[in-house]
Amino acid sequence: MQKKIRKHKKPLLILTPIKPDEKLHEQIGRVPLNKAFTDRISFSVLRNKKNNIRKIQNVSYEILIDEQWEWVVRFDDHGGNGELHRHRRLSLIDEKIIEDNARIKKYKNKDGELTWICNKDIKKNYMAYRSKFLKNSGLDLY
Amino acid sequence: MSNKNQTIKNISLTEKLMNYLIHGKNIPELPKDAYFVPFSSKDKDLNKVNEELLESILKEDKPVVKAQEPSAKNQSWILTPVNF
Repeated sequence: MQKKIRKHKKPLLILTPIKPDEKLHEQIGRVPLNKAFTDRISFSVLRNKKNNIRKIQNVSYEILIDEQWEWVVRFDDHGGNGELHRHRRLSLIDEKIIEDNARIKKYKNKDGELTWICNKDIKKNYMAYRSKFLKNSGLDLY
Repeated sequence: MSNKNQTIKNISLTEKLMNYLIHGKNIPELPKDAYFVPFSSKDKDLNKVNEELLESILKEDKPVVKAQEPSAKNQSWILTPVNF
């Protein structure tokens, strides 16, 4: 007898395009990452009247410099329909931003993208992003 | 627990919390600019340092939400407003 393989399907988050007259409200959440309160992840999403998510606007890794939160790397998908992009800030001094999608794995749904952003990119690279940004800014925080 | 360990563990919890906030049903209306402090279902050491983190954020005069990870996958996170 053949062994049955049960496949668990993950729910997909498919975002339909936003209608021009659709009323949306922004929800911004911030998650501090350590008790030194020097690193955090921020995210912003747009929700409709029923509180359903309509667009993931931004997920960013930020650090505290002189009592100001500065984003170091952020991710967006250009309106919910485009490919996930990474934006990296060079430094506090240089306003240039590097935009790329190198080594970003492609997913069919937003779940996979969010997991990739946190577990595969920020978790592995936050120290490198942080050090590079501070070094380019001429700062030595830690 | 070191700063680095706490950061890495909290990044993992953040991913789970964001997925819940995006997919979860009956999520209460929360202030626009709220801080979420995640608490693990298993890691007591992490929870201890996150409790200290929560205390320090309360001094910032921002809305703070305590987010408790569920012990089972089919359960919801428990979101508790702390100061609003």
